[in-house]
Amino acid sequence: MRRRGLTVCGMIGLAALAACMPKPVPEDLRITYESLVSRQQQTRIFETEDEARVLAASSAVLQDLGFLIDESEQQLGLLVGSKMRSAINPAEVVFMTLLALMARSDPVYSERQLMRICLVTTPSVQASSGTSVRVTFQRIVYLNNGRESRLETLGTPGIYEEFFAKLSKALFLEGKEL
Amino acid sequence: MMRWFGALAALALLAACTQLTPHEIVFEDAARQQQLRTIQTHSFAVTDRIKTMRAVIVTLQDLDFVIDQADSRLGFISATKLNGYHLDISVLVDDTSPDQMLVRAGFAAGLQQVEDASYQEFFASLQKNLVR
Repeated sequence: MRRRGLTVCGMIGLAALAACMPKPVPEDLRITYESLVSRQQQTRIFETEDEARVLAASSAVLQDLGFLIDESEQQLGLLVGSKMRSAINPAEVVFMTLLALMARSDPVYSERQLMRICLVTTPSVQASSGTSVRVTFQRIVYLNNGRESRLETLGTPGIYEEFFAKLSKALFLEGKEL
Repeated sequence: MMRWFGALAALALLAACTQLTPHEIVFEDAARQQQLRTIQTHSFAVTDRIKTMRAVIVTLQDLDFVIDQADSRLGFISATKLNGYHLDISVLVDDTSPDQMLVRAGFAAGLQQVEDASYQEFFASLQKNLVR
């Protein structure tokens, strides 16, 4: 009887979890004030009209950072890269293993993470001359059972600042904010 | 006893639901296809294909997508948005019409439903970046 109660509780819990799973809504495809703030954070303008030079320097920076180039399209000023790294957190592994021992099941924990970067160059419309560079990052964390546990866009200003500092060095040019 | 009958009836109902065949999945509902094509396509009064494609990329970045692939000769762009969910988009920019650009977008979110209103929102966002 107690076991059946636990099963029912488990099923209700799973149903509640499924209901909480985020799903795309039309409003997610609307440009908002926050979108413009992100755009500013993710963009720098470099004083050169040589877009090909900016793309070449950017691909060198991506490779320096360990990204593999997945896609490039010069006419659209596009570079896409990715890298897979470990996501193992020893504290999480210990905690989940203990939990699994108590529940007599297999431990489930974060194992790998895929980092993706998209870099787009555009002839600047803000300044009289120049090329704007915009980067965006995404991360997918995979569990040891192969399932995805986290799907997110990375938005910390530090990531963009450090990336553009490296690109400035590679281009020998100072990147200006929008 | 009644409970067992109820459970059996529910199972019988479930068994009566037939699984879609691969042929049905490939060709789907023809009426819906026509309706979807209309919802997914928008024309813009611009003539520069590359400029339109760049505007699509800017819009996708504004909406937190990361571009997966792009081909300027075919006018094709695909991208993914991760926000707890996994939303894929493929966009085709068609310049066969002399005075306008046809943009067709298709969303996929795994087994989750993407509402038709999403296309209107996307094209409204693209319009903003095309006139920028």
